[in-house]
Amino acid sequence: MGGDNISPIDFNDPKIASLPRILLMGPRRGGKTSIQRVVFQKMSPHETLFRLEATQQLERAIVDHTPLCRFTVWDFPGDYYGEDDENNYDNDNNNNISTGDSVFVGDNAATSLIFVVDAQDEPYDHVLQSFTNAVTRALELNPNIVIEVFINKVDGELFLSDESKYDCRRDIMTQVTDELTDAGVSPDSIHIRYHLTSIYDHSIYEALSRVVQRLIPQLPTLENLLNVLVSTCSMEKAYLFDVVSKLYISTDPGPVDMQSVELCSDMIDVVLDVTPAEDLEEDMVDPDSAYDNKSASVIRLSNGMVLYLKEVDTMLALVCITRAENFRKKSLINYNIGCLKKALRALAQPVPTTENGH
Amino acid sequence: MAKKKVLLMGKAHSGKTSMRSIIFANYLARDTTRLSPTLDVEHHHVRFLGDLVLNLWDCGGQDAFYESYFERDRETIFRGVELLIYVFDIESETPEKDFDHFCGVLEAIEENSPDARIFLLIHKMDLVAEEDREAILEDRKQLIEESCISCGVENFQCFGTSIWDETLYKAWSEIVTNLIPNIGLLETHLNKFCRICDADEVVLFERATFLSISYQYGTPHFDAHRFEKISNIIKQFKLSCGKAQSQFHGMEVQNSRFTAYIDQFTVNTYIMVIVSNPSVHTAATVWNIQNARNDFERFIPRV
Ligand SMILES: Nc1nc2c(ncn2[C@@H]2O[C@H](COP(=O)(O)OP(=O)(O)OP(=O)(O)O)[C@@H](O)[C@H]2O)c(=O)[nH]1
Ligand SMILES: Nc1nc2c(ncn2[C@@H]2O[C@H](COP(=O)(O)OP(=O)(O)O)[C@@H](O)[C@H]2O)c(=O)[nH]1
Ligand SMILES: [Mg+2]
Repeated sequence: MGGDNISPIDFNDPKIASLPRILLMGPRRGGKTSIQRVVFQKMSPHETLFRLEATQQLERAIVDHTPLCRFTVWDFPGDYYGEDDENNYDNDNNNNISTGDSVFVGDNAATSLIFVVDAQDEPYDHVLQSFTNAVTRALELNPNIVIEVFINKVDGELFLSDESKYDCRRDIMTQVTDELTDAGVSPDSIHIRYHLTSIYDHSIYEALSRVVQRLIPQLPTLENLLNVLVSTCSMEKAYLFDVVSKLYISTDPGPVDMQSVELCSDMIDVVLDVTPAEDLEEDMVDPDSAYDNKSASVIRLSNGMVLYLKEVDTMLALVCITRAENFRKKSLINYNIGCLKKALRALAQPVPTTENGH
Repeated sequence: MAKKKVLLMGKAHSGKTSMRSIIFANYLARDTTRLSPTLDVEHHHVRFLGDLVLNLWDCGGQDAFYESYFERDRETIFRGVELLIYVFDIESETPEKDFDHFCGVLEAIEENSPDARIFLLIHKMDLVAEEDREAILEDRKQLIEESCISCGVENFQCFGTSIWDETLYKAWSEIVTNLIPNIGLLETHLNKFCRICDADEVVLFERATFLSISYQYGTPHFDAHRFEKISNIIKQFKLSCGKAQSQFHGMEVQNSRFTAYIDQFTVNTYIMVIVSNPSVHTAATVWNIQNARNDFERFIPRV
């Protein structure tokens, strides 16, 4: 079945080839395709149980809903780590990547390698061996590549408590350090981030948000803008969300509390489902019509907090958390959001490509 | 306070307990994999709209239990039933066997509670590929209908359901509104309210379950599963609020074409009002909702 609803996209088109890349690698059945489908194609997590087959060849997809958050996702077959790196993985469609290119090296593009480990499939030693091999090879070819480990499937009976998840993460980190040392690489020379994930809850969105944030060149500016907004309007917290993927691409520098991100992200679902879609003709609706340039929403909570969502760019939402008493001056807030909106628009203008996409 | 006896029957593992837990006990669909099989009959009292009490008899579906349901406990079980909900598993390996028990149940109901309303749920529809769903559902409905008629039962309603999407809410909304006495009065007033607000749509949701209990419209929209989707999504949002140590009070959503309001209404309901007329000011709608509250408290059927 895989990939049948992806319309042919020319991944060699320089505009696409130069987008940041997220590579999904790892052992068979680790959950790479599931992650891709759940987050980027809205498959229900439960459906992955019986709708996915083992990935046979590289499947690429482009995520391009909003100008500030554009990248490609590369879903590799299980146990493929770029060994026979010269194009062979791409023989399903004829558009080969420019010769000599490695999967680890993007055209001027920031690249992130996500290694997906199945937390429910112990022991991990064999898998982590492949991981260290892949990492060392990737770093040789592209010293700037960002390495992320998703410790996936931390759900179900085995992971009821947070302790069990932390234990699992500690195990894996220690083993990776050992493997790297054995391979003669100093573990301190490589920066690896570890994320505990499950497609059944919000953790996968949190992890991917952090991955994506690292790929966005404008991130420091975005953080600044949000910081200004939050302090001028006395807000508790503000996030910028890609409405379609529900990843947040930036937030103000204040501490992030997972519960509040989750609430903001759930708010997006609520907004999209509550708004009636446009009737095109009898029995036909346009599902994308729910979110437009006038989209906004207010949710009042019993603890005196207000969630405020406002459209700030195509399929981009600002979601803020603020105290009800600070929400009274709504026109002032809207004015400031208007300024943010302008700034975002300017930021999203394609920068004349000079040297490097970083 | 009136208790209404509701029988929940069907083969073991068909999903009875899962549905009940999601609708009435705030379970998430993924938590249902941890449920253990129901042994014998489990009784649950759930409140609905304040003073309607549903007395749910969740009857374990293993074959061994049926002997006692049909023999020793026949009257205890089948007498005084207001509603029978019979669940078929779409993936059942022995559909013929399902029908054996099914006919037995129908007979026992006819004999002991001839006025009971009958709902048949063809469950776990998510396991059927989307493109085949409609055809397979029709097929199965046909079979069930034949089976009902051969048992002399003609009045029943049949739904395809899954805990993984909003079809669950559609079926259960239908089921529970059947238990609300005098709902006609409420509907008349809600319809009037809809016109006063110049609203496209007004929907009333029960507070605890968020099942929709009445829908009135000025201008109908075509998205058939919308309210069930809203029930589902707001219910989940309420759960998220709970995790963040807070409660959902109300919300407003707008885009260039509509404004939607969802707010606590009477003690036991939430209301949703959707307005597309740009000349209707937000303040006016909020004021209308505010003022209708006390009035409506009187129209919510008391038992
Ligand atoms: N419990 C649980 N199961 C998961 C999770 N993610 C994926 N799975 C399940 O893992 C199985 C394999 O998932 P895939 O996405 O096909 O794995 P893959 O890594 O793409 O596999 P290959 O394509 O063979 O490399 C599926 O049955 C998923 O339902 C998770 O977070 N938790
Ligand atoms: N795929 C799918 N599984 C379901 C559905 N409803 C329930 N289940 C699963 O079916 C199993 C049995 O459910 P349970 O409620 O205990 O069945 P009961 O014996 O009829 O009470 C559980 O593992 C549920 O997660 C559904 O709509 N779709
Ligand atoms: Mg795969």
